[in-house]
Amino acid sequence: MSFNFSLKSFFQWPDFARKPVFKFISKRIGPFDKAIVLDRNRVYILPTKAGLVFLLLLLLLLLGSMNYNKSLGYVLTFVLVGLGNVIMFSSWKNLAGLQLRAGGCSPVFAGEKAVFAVQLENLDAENRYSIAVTYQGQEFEVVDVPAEAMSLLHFQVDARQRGILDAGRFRLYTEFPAGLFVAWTWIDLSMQCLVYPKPVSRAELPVSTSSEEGDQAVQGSGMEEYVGLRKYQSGDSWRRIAWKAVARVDDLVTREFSGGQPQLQWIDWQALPVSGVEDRLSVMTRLVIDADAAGRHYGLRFPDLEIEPTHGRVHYAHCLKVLALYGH
Amino acid sequence: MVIENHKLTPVLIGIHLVALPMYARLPPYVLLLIASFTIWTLLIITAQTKQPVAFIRVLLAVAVVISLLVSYGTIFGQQPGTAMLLMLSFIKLFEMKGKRDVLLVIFLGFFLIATNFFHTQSPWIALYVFVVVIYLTSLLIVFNDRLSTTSFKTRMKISSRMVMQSVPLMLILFILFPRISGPLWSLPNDTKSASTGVSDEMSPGSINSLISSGAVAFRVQFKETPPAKKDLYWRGVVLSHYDGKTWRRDDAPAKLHPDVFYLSAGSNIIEYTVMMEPHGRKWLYSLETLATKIEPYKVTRELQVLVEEEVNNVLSYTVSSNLHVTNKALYREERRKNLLLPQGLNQKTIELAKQLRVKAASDVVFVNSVLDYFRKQPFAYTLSPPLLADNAMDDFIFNSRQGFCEHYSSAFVYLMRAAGVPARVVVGYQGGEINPVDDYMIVRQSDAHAWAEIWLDDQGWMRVDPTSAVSPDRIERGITGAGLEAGKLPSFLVSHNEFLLQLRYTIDSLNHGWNKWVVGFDDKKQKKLFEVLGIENIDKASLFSWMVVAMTLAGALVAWWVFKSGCKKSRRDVVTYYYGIFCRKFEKAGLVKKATESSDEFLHRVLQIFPELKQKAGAITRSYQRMRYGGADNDSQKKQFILAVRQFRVNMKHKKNHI
Repeated sequence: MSFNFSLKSFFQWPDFARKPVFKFISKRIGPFDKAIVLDRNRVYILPTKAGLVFLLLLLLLLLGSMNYNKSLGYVLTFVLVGLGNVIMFSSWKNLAGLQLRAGGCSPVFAGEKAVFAVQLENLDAENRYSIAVTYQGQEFEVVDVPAEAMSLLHFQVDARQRGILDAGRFRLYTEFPAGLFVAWTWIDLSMQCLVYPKPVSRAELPVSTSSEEGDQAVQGSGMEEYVGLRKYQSGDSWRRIAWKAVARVDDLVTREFSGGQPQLQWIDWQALPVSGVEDRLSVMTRLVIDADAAGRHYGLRFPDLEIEPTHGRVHYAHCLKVLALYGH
Repeated sequence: MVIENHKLTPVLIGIHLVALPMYARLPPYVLLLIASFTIWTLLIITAQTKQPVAFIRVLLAVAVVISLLVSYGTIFGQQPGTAMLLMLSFIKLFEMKGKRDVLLVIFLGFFLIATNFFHTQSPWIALYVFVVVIYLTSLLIVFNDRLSTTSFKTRMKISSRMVMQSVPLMLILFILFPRISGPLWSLPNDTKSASTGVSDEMSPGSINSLISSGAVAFRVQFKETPPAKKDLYWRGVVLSHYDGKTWRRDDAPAKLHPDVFYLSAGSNIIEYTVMMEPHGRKWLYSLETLATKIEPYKVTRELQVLVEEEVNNVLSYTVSSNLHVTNKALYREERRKNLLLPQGLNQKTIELAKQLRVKAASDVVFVNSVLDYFRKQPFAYTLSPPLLADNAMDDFIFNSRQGFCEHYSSAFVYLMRAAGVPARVVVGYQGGEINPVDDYMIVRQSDAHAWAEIWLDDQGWMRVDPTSAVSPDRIERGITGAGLEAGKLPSFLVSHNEFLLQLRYTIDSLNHGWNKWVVGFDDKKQKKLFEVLGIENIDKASLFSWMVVAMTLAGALVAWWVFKSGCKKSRRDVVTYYYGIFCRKFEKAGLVKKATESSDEFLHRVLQIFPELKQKAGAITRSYQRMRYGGADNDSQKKQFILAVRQFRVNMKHKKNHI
């Protein structure tokens, strides 16, 4: 039997900021799907360094009062003892009873930072102050939550891989009102963020080998003819809106192009100049971005899946989502 | 976290609030330094100058330490220590880098404010410290309110509430925390408060300088009726040695202190409790003649009550005296030393004594003839006697003939000794006034008095008060009735305003209660308190366990108090709360109200999925809007609303369709 015991780690203050130290905590941090109220089981509290110095001050005052037998010295010492006690409860109360709810998270590309929002709702008639969020030891934002009101807190997570990014647990903490105690909680609100594949910096679409309408589509780019205006339809590219005309008629109008066909582009898995799933997805992502920026109609073709060419925000988001979740 | 300059202003105010009661005690150059530090800090705050660099700060700190060393000779000890900490906290203001620095200064403030108790423990300073504690706590909030959203008013509200909430625990600890008697380590010399009141040296002027002070020397609670004013001789110290100018103590050696108390208690015992104000001296006062020992204090042969340490705190002790007995033991050495006179001085006085003694048949007759001499010659009782020449007694008795009690007592003792009667001076207080509000006696510094004691072989040590021969009113009617210069007496004592008199008595009885129950609260009082509860002779260990139990209970109470204060639902909030419940009923069906969504938008979404709920959900949403925003929220409406929300059901069959 060997004791894996290091004296240094024994005396070291556990790193409460980075991870839950005790096992029982993990059971209480979720994940939770719905709004949860931070009840007393979930809020932990410990004195800060300043709190320990305050304790030292109390000891000095007590010793002084005892030695010089000053009754008012005792009174002051004991008022401060009581004050420390009340501050402990107050710090705790500043966090406990808060209602948490997952806020949204907009999709990001891998390599970017996913920004998660947490909604804090104060159900009580008393303001809460200076509540901060940390994620993996890093602090992101501080908010107040006024009585019967809501506030949003954000934290960022590195989106390293495409797919679904689980935020996992984050930490809320507060030292209000006096900085003598830190009250904190670990919570997992099962927040998720969609992470698109990381686009390569540049990609050319190779000439499609397929014989269908692809040829024209590819070459059609930039050759369309302007035919007139029509009413904006959801899905039209913003780039095609005739802003000058909008100013005249007070309604969104889209420039319409002819050339017989809209520009059409197949982004084909097989046709890519790279191999390997992730590389292909990265290239395809770049192509989708470029195609959308250019206002083209585009479709995706995977070995086992095909997305019909069209354009617009919804299509764009859908394509990227498919790319993000491909193979998952 | 960087501290913005403007946040230094409240800290600066805080230090000044802490230092305010000390200003009167600090030497002028320290005040000058403090003033310049303050101006400097203000310049930094208004961005007219930058924070001094580290080198300058170190230089300043060194300069402060050196100047204190020069003026006090040390930086340890209460006075220089306090001054140093105070100035260092001002210098600390020059290097506020983060929250840590500020917290340190605030904690220092909590510490420094306690040093005031070395000087006074009056209810006023207690009140002041209480307010400063609230202010310092609000400073803690300034630096932990990270978005700086709280206003001064809010901070003061929070901090005063927190300090109020800390009172229950304070009371429990104060009452139950086991007190130790005696210091843990020996006190440095200057932690003792300045000595006041009657001193153990007497020269012309030393007592009449006390008369202008209306300060309380001690308060006395008699068990039964207090004695008449003329019998109220509060014995302090006995002065036997005279060098021609000053009377000093010359106590019998400690081994001669009576082990067994030799004065019979007898009948006519008066029992009383004295609450001594701190006077920084090593003796206590008792009515003549002391009839019992006072544990744990020492009683000397001269019937002085001595304490080990200077009296720096309010001290209460219970004593018995017997007005009708005298100290009947004379130690051989005592006779010799109480006959000594400085050589070659005051020849005329000695001559006079001898003449009077020759004429008198006995010592008693001689004493009366001396008193007659004071009575019949034009002696005056005055607070402003002229200075005396080298042969002080000759000058007084034959020339100036104006004096206060110290002149008369010392002249009398001198005459006695010259005629071979052992005699000595006793200093203490004479008189006292009853406070009718609480029925106790107040003895003030203005009651300071000196009298004489002579040895008569058949009667023992007899008290003779020569002042009464000159001014019988001083003894019968007290210091204010003695016809002295009114301008030299404490003005409030000679005023006849009935209202002010009443106010003075009330305030004094408040002080008395404060001294008795707060300042003078000690292990004896703790014991007494438990005796009232039926627990005899409580020891420190069980006191401690009582304390722990009570603290736990109080902790629970305070926790409840703290939490209750936030959970009060406002009138509006009941509505919000039940609307929240209403919204959550859709949660099971997968419909969650977003924070950004208005109640109308949410209703719209609900009705898309649950069109059949149009009636009920619509009604609830509308009445919610009416009460929340329309200002209409009487109780019956609210009850209806709550009922409607409670009865509201969402049909779960739709859940599947929706998803």
